[in-house]
Amino acid sequence: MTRYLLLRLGLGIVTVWGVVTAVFLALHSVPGSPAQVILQGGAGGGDVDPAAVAALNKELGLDKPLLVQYVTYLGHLLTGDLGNSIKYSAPVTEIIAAPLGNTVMLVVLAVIIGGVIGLVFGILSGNWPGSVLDRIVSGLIAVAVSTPGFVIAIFLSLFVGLSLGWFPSIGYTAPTDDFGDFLYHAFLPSLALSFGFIAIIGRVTRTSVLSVRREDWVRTARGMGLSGGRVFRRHVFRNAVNPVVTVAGLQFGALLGATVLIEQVFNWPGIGSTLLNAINGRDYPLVQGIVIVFAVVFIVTSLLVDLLYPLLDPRVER
Amino acid sequence: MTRTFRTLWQKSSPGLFITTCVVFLAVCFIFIYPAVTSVDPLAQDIPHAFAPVGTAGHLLGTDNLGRDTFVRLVVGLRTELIVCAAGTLIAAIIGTLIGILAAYFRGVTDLALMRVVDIFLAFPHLVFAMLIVSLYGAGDLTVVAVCAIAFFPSFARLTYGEVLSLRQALYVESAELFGGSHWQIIRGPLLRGVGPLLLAQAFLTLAFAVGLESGLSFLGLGITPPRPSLGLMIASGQQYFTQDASQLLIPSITLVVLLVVLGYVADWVRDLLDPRGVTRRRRLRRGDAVTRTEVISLREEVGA
Amino acid sequence: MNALDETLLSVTDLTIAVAGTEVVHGVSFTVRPGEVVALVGESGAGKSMTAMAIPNLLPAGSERGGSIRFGGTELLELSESGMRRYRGGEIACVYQEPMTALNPLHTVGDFLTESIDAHGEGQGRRREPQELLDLVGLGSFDDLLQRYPHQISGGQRQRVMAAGAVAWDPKLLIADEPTTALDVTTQRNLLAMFRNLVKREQMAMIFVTHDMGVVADIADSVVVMRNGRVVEAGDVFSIFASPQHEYTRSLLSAARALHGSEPDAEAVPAQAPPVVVPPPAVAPAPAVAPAVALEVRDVVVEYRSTGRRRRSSGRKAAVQGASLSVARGQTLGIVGESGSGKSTIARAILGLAPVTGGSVSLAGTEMVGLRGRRRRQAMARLGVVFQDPTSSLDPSLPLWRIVTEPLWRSGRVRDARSLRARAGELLGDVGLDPTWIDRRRHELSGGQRQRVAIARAVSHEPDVLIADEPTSALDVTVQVTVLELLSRLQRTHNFACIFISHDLYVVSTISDRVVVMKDGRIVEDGSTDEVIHDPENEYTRTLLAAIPVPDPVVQRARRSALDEETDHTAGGHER
Repeated sequence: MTRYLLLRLGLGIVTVWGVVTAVFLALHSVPGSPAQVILQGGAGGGDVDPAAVAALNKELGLDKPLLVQYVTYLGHLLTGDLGNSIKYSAPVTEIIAAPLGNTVMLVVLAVIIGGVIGLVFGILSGNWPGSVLDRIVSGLIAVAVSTPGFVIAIFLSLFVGLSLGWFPSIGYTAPTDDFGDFLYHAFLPSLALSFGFIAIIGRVTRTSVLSVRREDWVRTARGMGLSGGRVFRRHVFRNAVNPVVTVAGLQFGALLGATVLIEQVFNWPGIGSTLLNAINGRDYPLVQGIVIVFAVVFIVTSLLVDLLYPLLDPRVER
Repeated sequence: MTRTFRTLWQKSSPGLFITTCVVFLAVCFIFIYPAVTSVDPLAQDIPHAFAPVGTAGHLLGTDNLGRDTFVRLVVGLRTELIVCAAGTLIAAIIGTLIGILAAYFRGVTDLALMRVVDIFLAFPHLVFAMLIVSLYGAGDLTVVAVCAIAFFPSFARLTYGEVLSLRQALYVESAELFGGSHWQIIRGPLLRGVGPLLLAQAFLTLAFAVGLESGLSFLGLGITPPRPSLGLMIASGQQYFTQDASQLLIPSITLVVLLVVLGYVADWVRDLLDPRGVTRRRRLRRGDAVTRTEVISLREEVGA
Repeated sequence: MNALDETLLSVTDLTIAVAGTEVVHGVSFTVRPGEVVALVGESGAGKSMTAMAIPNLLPAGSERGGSIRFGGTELLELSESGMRRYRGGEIACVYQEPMTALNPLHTVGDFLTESIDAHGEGQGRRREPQELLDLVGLGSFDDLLQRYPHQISGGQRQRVMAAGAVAWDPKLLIADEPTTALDVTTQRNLLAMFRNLVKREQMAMIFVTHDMGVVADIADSVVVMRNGRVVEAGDVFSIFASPQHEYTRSLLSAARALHGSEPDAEAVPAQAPPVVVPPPAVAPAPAVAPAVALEVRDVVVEYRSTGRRRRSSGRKAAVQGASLSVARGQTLGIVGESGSGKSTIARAILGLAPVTGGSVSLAGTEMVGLRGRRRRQAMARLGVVFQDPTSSLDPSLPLWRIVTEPLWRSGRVRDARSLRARAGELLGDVGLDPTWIDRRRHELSGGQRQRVAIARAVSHEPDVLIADEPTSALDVTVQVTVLELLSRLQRTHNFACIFISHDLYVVSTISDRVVVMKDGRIVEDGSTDEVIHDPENEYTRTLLAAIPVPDPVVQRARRSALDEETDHTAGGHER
């Protein structure tokens, strides 16, 4: 067990390192120094005062050789220092803490809502394939998976939010202030976020249930004289749920990414909006920090999923 | 030609076949129409802004600057399709190559290549796209590059898994025995085995690419305005929702329909190219006439 | 009331339709209490369907017609909940594939507890899981109840399944090919276990099988099925001694031919299809030994477990120091059970297994360590036929490409026209219609696919043909014809042949010499005659004894003699 753990951990670290390096290279691959890009307001902007460029270069430590910069960069990361934001002149870690929390809340809510609905859909569909119920559910899923998150977000916010007024489409209350109100405001955004998740979970559950139903041990269970419900719970559902858990875990990272657009639509103060503002403001340290955080979260969740799997399935080598 | 058509018809369900034909025709239209007519998607006509659907000369109305919505839709779709298809194609080529090489040669190649894939998989697409755009600026080429980099990992993973299991198949092993060189085997049974899945995945990826691009252009980071794109149209539609709801609805519905349809085409392609898959048996339950081979396979399944 | 007169189960005019098409047409038979009825037939006969129709465990979309009366109740009229009372209670089942028939996420204890709890309400004394294990001979294992199915052997899994089935003393046990997927020694022990259960609990059994030897061992009466119909039924002794129906006769003669038991072969009436019995002595010992085509010397095959490095003590050698040789025109049979290394050694010769020691020399060329183009050239002298005729043929290629593969892949012949012509010839040589060159794999039956594989294997005139269990996946009657085909081709092309199988008798029908393997080593090596009639090694004798003879009188006499030696019901140590 420990060997497996260490191996997965090792691979995870390698991947994180790879991500971090890729971001570094991306940032430094832009023609002209990043400082120039910052002052120009993006690649291909107008001319800038070379003196200002030099000054910014020095300040950001960009005049040193690439390798040195790389090593310093890695060193900082290991100590948890993501650099300082240019715009806010504060450590990146401080800036992203609160918005990250807000975004994570959205994702967690979306996972809960989406997970439950997706499972139910998948079970209904998988247990009665070809039925009217199955076709309706599959059709809904097809549409849900195809509709981009922001379109769903827009429609929810305009129709459910504005027109019907059931839930607010704008506004935010910190969870520490009033949790109930927080949920009230978080509902529509997380619902919008959950659509894609519902679709994926629904699909995977359906396929899994469909294939497990046909397995021999289900027939053995029936042959014992067990009731349909019992057979389903212990021999279909329990076995079908494994791949679903894996997929759900892997989707966590993807959901995190999808929040960017949804937060735009609902004006939710999450990390997505922070990223967008950082990009528009050419605040590269902030952009870099956020991208790395996203990637690390994804890697950590897939690591957790990998660790969880042997617990679910005794056949997997520990 | 008619024989291929008829075999295609027989092999799939009517619904999918018709959908695909319609799609094919629509795509042709999108490409031909702007070429043969002289409409200009950028032509503004402010006095006639927000013309309702069905106005003479403006089939789907006009937007906030009086530009014809229908024309913008068609041109926007064309640009998007070209850009996203290019990105998907590049992603498919790179990803498939990586997947096949890693799964076939295994060992160090496997470890190294799949680590690279994992690294790129760790980036959520949109975030990654935003990063690239912020560095290199928005534009068509950037979008193509972004799509290629964002989607090659899924192709790599797909081919990797498929080739891993195909390698175990006896007919692949025996190809080696009968004197096949590595290249021959890759080109032959492996590519043939992987082909159908690849094609289906390509359509799915195209759908994702369109989704990604529209998200980017919604944020203003995709295809450069004032050139039209679905995302941009949706963004402005949202902005002026209170004045004219149709300007939001039309591009949104188009986008959704496009993506749903691409998903169906992907299914259809997979059905078509898989000689005896699960889908065959699924159709049996809908009450289709049962052919002899299908009953035989069903009985084989039961072990009569 | 005389228990013997009372019928337990009465099946009358049973029809089964799957997805609208009728697959079983009017089957009738009866089962008395304590009687073992064998449902025999080849694939597609409908025997499994018939058996599974009784407790209504057919796949969704199936419909039954006719009548199934069990102890006075008409089962076809029962609702699902009514039927459930019988399942696991009075009517229990064991299935063919022990690996997939048990839920991989449940322990043995979970499974047994579930079987017990399924019929809790006042149905007599409630048993404990450990008791059930004792009943099936697994009582001596300590922690079996905590184990998962993948942690125990196939034979043990099947016993566990039987334990669950008898939890409530069923009156009828339906066994759907329970030993087909297992080694022959395991099979022998399991048959003993079943017989024991029948005797102890006065349980009736319906035993579905395709193996006439098994029928001879365990059945009291036989029902022969073909294409969904009963062609003959009767008590086991009469059926074997004087089969009335032509199909029964062909089944029996094929079974006997594969068993190579000559007295029976002579007893087959003239109208029966030809029997594969090669002339006992192929040729008198030649003055000059024919050229050795393939020589394997002290070969060692070791697998490193994938991924992690293992301590060297953990490495298990799949083949340890095996040596054999075969000459042109000769056939060498390699026999062994699962894990014996017989397939591994074939793979080593083919270069598909990691050879860590010894030499493999093909017509004088050393194969171990050969790479690239030289290897491919050397490989051109080999032909291969695998066990699975489906997996070894590319589903997307037409037959003419498949059958000439060695020719175009190595570049010897390139143009389509000559390839197609050659393909037609090859198909004709193996008894298939030459006009089929454009067909594809899924249009052929299993036996036909194997013929195509054989045609492909000889298409380039190899020096050596390696046949790895080429007939194991086929029906008995088809097996005979395929073996005949192999012999005929060998006489024509004069290649050396290595024939691998788990069945000693099948191997003996076409081999000149036989080698027996166990746990990676060769334990017996001699001419066919010597090995079959005068084996030196204990294990060979065990193997020979375990294979059931398709003759009830002989088989029953043999087994009671053996049962006296050891108590095979307390087993579970087999694979």
